[in-house]
Amino acid sequence: MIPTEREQRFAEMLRENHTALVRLARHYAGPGDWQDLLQEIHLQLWRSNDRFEGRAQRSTWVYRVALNTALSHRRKPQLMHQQLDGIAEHGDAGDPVDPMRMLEAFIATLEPVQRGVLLLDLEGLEREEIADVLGLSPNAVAIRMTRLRQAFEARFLEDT
Amino acid sequence: MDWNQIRRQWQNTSDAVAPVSDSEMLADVRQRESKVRNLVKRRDRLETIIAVLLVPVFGYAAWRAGARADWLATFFSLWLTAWVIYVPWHFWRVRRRMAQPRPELTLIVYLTQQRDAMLAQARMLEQVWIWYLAPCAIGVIGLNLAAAGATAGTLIYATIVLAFCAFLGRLNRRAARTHFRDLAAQIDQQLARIAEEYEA
Repeated sequence: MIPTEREQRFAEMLRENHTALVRLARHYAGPGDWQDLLQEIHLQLWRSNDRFEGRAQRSTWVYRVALNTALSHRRKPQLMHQQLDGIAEHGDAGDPVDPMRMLEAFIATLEPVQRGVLLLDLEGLEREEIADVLGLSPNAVAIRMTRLRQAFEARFLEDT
Repeated sequence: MDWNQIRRQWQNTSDAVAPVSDSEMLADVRQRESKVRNLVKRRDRLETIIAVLLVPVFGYAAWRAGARADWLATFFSLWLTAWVIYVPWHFWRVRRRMAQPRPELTLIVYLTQQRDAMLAQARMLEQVWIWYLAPCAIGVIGLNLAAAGATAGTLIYATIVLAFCAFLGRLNRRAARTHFRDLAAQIDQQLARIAEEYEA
């Protein structure tokens, strides 16, 4: 089937955001069903595509649909990597610990909205954009982000 | 390592998942979209088919009873005819009123819409007695009374029908409580936490 112009634009948008959407899906679903969540995000993006009015930036809109879909994905998220304590012990033993693994473990302990704030920050969104995605004030997002960073650094990065 | 370095490293992790081709991705979206559409169509069609099949049955019964001047049987046959037309119309009306949560809206608006949709579903199940079970029970018991008269058998039949309706009513109330009201409460908690943490 030859894709329409609308479908081509949609495919291009997904291609541009593919890696970020995969990361998001992986952090809201377990290892066995993150691909289901990713496909559900694609479907929700497709279904709400016609309602994109251009008031928000396209990327903000993509993250908003993706995050809302992920939050509705009610299956309990599973820890994807080692438990926090395991990683902390690994570090205590003097072995080098990959900061990305520590970050993954930290993210897995967060409740869904905090997880969303942190993931959007890691994807490079500004405070105002995160606030726009979530419908919160930029100030509230800034305070929460500072606390999250401090919690992460206090737990994992003090000795690195 | 500072936070900006962590962010950069995060954005450079590809998660080793190659994107699928555009055609595969579009085919998957099209397939899922048509699956959802077909599911809705099938459900609506089933409700209409049941109504279309039952209306002539009860309509004919009403006509026959009317021809015999059996007004009680005519009344209850017409009652049941009206009920089988009312049920799909009620579903259609409730679904039209129930706003579908729109994921492109902000998180708080989306969660509020989701909660409202859950509560609407719960109310529909809790009121199943009023719009589904009671009219059906009245019609069936009334028709049996008109046909057999006030006998012990009619009483037993009415008791069985009412007991079965009570059982279905309880099942629906339970589903409303354990599924939809529980989910609505979870969303409420999430909204309260957001208000507490981010809007204080």
